[in-house]
Amino acid sequence: MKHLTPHIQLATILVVLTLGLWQSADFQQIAAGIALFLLGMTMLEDGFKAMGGGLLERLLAHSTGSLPRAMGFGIAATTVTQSSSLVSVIAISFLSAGLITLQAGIGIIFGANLGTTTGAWLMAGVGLRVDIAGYAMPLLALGAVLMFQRGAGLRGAGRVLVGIGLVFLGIAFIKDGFDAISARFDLTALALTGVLGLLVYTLIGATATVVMQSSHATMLLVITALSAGQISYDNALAVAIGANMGTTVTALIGASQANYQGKRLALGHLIFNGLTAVAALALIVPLRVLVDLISDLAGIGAQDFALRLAVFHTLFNLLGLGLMVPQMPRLLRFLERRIAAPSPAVSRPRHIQADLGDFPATLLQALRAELRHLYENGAALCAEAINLRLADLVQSGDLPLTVARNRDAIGLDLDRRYNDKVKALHAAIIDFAASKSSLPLPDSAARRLQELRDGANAVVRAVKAIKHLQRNTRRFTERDHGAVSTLYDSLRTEIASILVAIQTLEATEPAQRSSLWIAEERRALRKGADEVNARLETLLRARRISAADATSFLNDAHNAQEAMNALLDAAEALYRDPDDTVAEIERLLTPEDDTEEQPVP
Amino acid sequence: MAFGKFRDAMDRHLKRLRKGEAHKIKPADLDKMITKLEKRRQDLLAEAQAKPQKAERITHKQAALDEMLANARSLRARLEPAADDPDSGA
Repeated sequence: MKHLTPHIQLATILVVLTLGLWQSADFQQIAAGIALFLLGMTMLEDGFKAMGGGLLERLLAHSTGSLPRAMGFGIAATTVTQSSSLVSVIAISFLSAGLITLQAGIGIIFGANLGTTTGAWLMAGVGLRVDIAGYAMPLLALGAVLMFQRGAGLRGAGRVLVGIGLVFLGIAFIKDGFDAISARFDLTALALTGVLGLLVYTLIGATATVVMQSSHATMLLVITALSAGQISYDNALAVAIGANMGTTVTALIGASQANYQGKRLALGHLIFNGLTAVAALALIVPLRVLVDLISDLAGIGAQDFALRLAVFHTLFNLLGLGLMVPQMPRLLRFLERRIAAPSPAVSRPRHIQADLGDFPATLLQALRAELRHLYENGAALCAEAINLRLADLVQSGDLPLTVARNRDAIGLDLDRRYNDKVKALHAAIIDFAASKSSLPLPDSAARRLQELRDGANAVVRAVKAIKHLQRNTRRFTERDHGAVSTLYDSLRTEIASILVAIQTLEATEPAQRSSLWIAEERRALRKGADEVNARLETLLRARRISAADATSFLNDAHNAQEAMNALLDAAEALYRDPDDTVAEIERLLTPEDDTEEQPVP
Repeated sequence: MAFGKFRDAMDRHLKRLRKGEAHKIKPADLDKMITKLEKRRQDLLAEAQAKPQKAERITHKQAALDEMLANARSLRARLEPAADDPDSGA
């Protein structure tokens, strides 16, 4: 039944639409106008994504330090792109990826709600006053030329122009459709007054927004109908309130696939719009008086209901902000309590989600953050498998001493911990990378995606290799076996050095670090292995170690090398420079292996 | 890195560049990397003095760093004419 519901909804919409199209030429015109408008909005959104080249994401990362800045970003981005859904999707992506806080995400959504009211101003102030279809034609022609160019930026600009053209054309179609209806019918005969009118038209506004997936389209319809005298002013105010409510349904549907942070944001959005709507409905009479007062002061004509509706739309969204911003700490506490973070016992993906969208920069940032999450789990496991704790190693000023002092067994069920902390997370990363590799990513992004996926495989390789040496390492460290124990301590110290070096890289400012530092570690690792082998030879010759123990140690040293190299592979993927050109230089200078040849003179 | 390996890496980079899969390296990009490597060298020297017990390990790291630095400088020298000639260089 659950699966049938969307099909039933679609079938109902199609039947109603077909009947309307069959019955009325005016309905055909309005429906075509809505279709063009929605198509235009979609193209506008796609165009901004392609044209921005990650600009919105970069701005977002730097503009969300405080609540006013996050709200400012939401207002500005929605005003420019005229798409609150695009801004909301990016906010959810960043929040899910752990790149912004919940407060910043909610600030952006609040700002986007206010930014979306500029659409009503544009429609009422410009869309209905000039021959907007006349402007659509050159935009469509110019946009079509750009859309077929090679550069992604030009193609994006073309989509933006065609999108605006289609939006203009849609507005003109809807306007003409309502003008034609006005000549024959008076839809205001269907007007409802009083509380019933408020509730029914609020519901109509919400339903129309859910069906069309766009509050802009609902606002366009109501402003055009109002301008053509086909809806009463009071009922139009209620539709505007309903349109705000309708957008939250779309967000809730979208958040059903999001992680707990995305769900918190969607619930915050619902609470904000719900309370705003309730307040606007409760205060409709004083709000209307205030709208009239502001409109009179601004010189908006007494009969210019379309512009007065735009004033109302902005005013009640401001009312919502005035009510909710002071309650932000309480709202955050409620959301965090209501939707708890998942239990840490089993690691789940924190940053990669199916609804991350297809912005290359966001995808890669999220995937890198998830790889770091997997690496942290894997590194902790590698340390504990040899009776060491990562936190002790990072704080140590003398690693050999710390290693020698930490000999007691750590109760670690490596298989269970591997399943809980590594396996599922690794599978999620591989699945995510595979699903995103089919996107038309730029070459550099596709290459980075592959590197990060290889990094995740490397973490698994490291844990599996450590598992092989766990038994002997414990045997020879928990009790003193003389020279063999010393050899195993040197192995543990090498592994500890690699783990600490990678932790140090993480703690270093990104501008000061390079993945080339990993190549240094590899060199030190190889030289360290040579020295351990030489020491083993000496011990064997002096008969201070049995041949059986020496063979075991050689096998374990091989596994340790494999684990350390795998850890370094993962680190190389993690700390590759985000700038494509610098990353290329790093790849070029990264040694493939150590040889005795001399460097370039 | 040994010269032969570095030359192979360069060949692969040039191939990717011709296919449009790699970014063109400008002298300024390389200058920044050389500065970073030199700073790293200073840091390693300071660390070797501060932690004598790690001196041996740091010596190996310095050796790898010196090779990367030499290769970076060599690449920078090759790119020198590219400042005036947009068609040359890596």
